[in-house]
Amino acid sequence: MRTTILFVLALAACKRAETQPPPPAPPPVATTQGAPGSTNLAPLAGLATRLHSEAAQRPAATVTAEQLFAALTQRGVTLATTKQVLAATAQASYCALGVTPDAIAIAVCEYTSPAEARAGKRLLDTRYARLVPDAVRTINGTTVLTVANGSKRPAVRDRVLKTFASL
Amino acid sequence: MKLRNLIGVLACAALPATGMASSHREAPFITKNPKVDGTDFYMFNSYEGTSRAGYVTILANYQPLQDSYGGPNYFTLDPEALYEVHIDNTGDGVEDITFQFDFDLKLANNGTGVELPIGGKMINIPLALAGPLSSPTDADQNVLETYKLGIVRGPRRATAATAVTNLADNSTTFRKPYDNAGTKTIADYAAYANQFIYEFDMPGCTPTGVLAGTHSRVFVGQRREGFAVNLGQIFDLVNMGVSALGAMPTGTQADLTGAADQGKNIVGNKNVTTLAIEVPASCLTKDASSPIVAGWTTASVRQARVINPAASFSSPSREGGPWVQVSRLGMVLVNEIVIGIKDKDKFNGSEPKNDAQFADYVTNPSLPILVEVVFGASGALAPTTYPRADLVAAFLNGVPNVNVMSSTLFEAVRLNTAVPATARDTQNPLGAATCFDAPASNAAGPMLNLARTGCDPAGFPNGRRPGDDTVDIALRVAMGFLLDQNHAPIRAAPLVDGAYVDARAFLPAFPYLDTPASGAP
Repeated sequence: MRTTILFVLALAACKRAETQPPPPAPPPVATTQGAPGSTNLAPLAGLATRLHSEAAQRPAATVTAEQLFAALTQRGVTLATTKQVLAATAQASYCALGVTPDAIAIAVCEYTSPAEARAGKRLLDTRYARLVPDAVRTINGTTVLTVANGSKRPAVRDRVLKTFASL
Repeated sequence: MKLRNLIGVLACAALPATGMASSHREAPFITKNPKVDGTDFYMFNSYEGTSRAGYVTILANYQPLQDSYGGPNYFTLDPEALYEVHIDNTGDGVEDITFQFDFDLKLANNGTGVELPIGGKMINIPLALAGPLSSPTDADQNVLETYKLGIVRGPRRATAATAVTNLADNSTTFRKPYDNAGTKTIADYAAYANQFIYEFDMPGCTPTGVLAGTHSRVFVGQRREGFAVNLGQIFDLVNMGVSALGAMPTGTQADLTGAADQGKNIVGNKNVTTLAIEVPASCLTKDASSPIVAGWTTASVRQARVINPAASFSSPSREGGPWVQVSRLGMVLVNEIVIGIKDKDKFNGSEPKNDAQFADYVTNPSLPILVEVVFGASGALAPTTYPRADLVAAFLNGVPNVNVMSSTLFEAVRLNTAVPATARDTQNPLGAATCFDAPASNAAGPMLNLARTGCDPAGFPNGRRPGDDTVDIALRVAMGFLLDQNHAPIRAAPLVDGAYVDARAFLPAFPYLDTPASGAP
């Protein structure tokens, strides 16, 4: 149908111009040239792949994200959303992010060893100091907890930290 | 953990971002039509000096990512297309004034082209020139590109354009300079190109507020790409700050929260083709009490094209039918990182008055979620409030107390012509975005504070100047700069893409965008 419409339009255009058009040649093969950077989808495809990979290769963490989120719910800390986030950002094996209704961020990152967890915390403390200036971080074995945007709700933040430490 | 949904969001957020600078090859269909691909649109109160006070400069860039060595044909515009700049001075999303550029491409010697005697025969040369160029009338130029400039008042297709007279020769024809092929072809390109800046008087307008004896100006020609972006990293967010692929930032990667200038602009050595006009603000505004205007650029082609199997220089195809708009550009980055990929070509063919159809992309954007996924491990959060009324203000309605025209929502660059221009050397790359305090609440909206340190109300999003770092501004606004802290936890983060722009890197005078990169040393 669309081809027919285009063909009619082409004919109408030719008639309007009152010309003797040559018979339409077959459409040329598309040879659109890619511009620099225009086809660089690999990193983004890699992001999704990376998330899959991180989810599939979780370590035996001291505290898992699910354990903490469940414990928080039991202790009255409601989470509006939870989702996996990129662990490579923290040089971790796996990370998840929970967010309370009042926008307190609870990021849980799982590592393969306590030493790696300590290195990950140092990285987060330094690299993202300007991005998330009010972040509070603590370690429990192989797991690093970040609580951000909690300075206006210190009671909730402290409850999260205590819950994490108790697991 | 909703991984499947998340990956879907990532795909939606990521795919539109490929291959773009501001609006370079941003929609699938336009990639097949580079000559009519609008890339950037600037509109600002001229800051050349007191002699140009009261003028507004408008720059519309086309043909993205030009390699300066792109001979022998280089980058002529499409003689079968209609390039337009639209001005709405009533706030209804409908153009009140349209500048139409209609290009023509001819061979020298009345269509014969330059020929050389070779072996007793006159042979047409294969190049677009036969020798060095230094003026608009060089006999050695084999391919001549000219244009006519017309002005339409009211809806763009309702009436015919009134031709603009070139004050240099009282004709209605303007010449376009040859592209910057190299120093052997054009020894002093800046001086050469300056000869193609023409004066005109805008038909139907008696200007006020400008220096007596001055005139409007027009220039069309190649310029160095003015948009700066860390293309491979900011929109492949996975490569910024930390790599999504497991590698930490290296010397070749930008730091999202690092220094603003990390030398990461990857399009700085590219050229574009600029349509530049400078006209009195009083000729654009509705009246003295309505100083705000909205602007955007479009390109249109005929609806039907039949390829000529016996192609000639002047007739490679036959085109006919009504004009169909295939490119549209107003606010920076809208069709790149806001509009979903399935609607990008639709957006390019749309008119601002119908922008309500795209509102969901603005009120529920995907880019902040992508940022959150990449940096969420640090505790960084995307804004938590929906719909994003702050983005509606920034992109569709204007910023309160700065450049709101009406309650009608439409996407365009809005300029308050009454705000005095800031001199080039004192411009802040973060423009008018520096003039807002954190709002007490989202309901209260952005708090304009002209006394704020660094406040530069003459810049983006109050119009757009070449030196405005629109990527950094857009990043921060997307992450909630205009929202309150409770709903945008990282609203104050100094996000940067590592590619820096500075007004001092551009020309101090019309057409402002810099001399194009040379095709040869």
